[in-house]
Amino acid sequence: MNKAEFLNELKKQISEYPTEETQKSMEYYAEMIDDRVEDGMTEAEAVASLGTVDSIANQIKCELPITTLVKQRAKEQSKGKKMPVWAIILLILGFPLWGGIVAFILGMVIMFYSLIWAMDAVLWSVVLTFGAGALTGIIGFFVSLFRLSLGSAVFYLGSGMLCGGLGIFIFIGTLLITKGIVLGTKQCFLWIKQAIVGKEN
Amino acid sequence: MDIQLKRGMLDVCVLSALLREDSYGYKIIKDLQPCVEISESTLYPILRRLEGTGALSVYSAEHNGRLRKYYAITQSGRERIQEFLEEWKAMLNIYEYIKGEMNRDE
Repeated sequence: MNKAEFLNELKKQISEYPTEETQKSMEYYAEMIDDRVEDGMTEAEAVASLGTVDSIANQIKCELPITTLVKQRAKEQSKGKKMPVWAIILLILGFPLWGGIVAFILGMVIMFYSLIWAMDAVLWSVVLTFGAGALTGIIGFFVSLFRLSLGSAVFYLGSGMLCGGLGIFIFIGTLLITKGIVLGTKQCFLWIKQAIVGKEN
Repeated sequence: MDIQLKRGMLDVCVLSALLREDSYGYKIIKDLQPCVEISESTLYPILRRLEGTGALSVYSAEHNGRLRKYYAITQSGRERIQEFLEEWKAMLNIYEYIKGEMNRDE
């Protein structure tokens, strides 16, 4: 395969995606081939060393925003095989049924996801509570000291330190959990993307 | 290796390759070769991502009668490398601790 053939093939595979993206990718790979040729490779060798067009096209698709991918996928599927009229009628008539099911599943997913965040929020409020406890303890300590009531000063200091210690402990755990949720969410989106693009990358 | 971790590391690798001078795709790959094997199709999304976050800027310059894209690191890109180094310092401390405890256990 020479450079022109390679670029043509690549263009064919990603041409449905936004033109700006397509253009940039093509320029990038054209430059790569030119640089390799300049470095002493033949054009065919340079093209071969880039890998298959399929894998390159797939990688480009994986980096596109998820909304673009879904739109594109929907377009692809409706293209070619046109839906027969009876199927459309059935789809519309059946809406109360499948609409409900889809809404239910969607609702469950959203509810479950919100639940995770809600639990995380509870943990954060516990951290805040302990933080407030620690602050109260410290203030109470100084106030008692000022009033020369040594007993309550010791009590305030002790409970303040206890709150502070527990607060820091839970804070670290909660921070890790929150980070974990964010990472997990990103990973899920990546999976969905890959599922839409199709092949494993 | 954890995919998220590897991704972040490659980003910083590419940024580091721009510290000495502005560079272009093929040169970045060649410069990184002793450190990590990275393919064109891996580098492309990394460059796009770094451009998107403002860690590097892109400009075109003529070379041998054609346009070549050059990449330059920005201040935010330098900060990104600094962050990476600090994070890994903390990581190494943890590593040393784990290794030490493991050796004592044996």
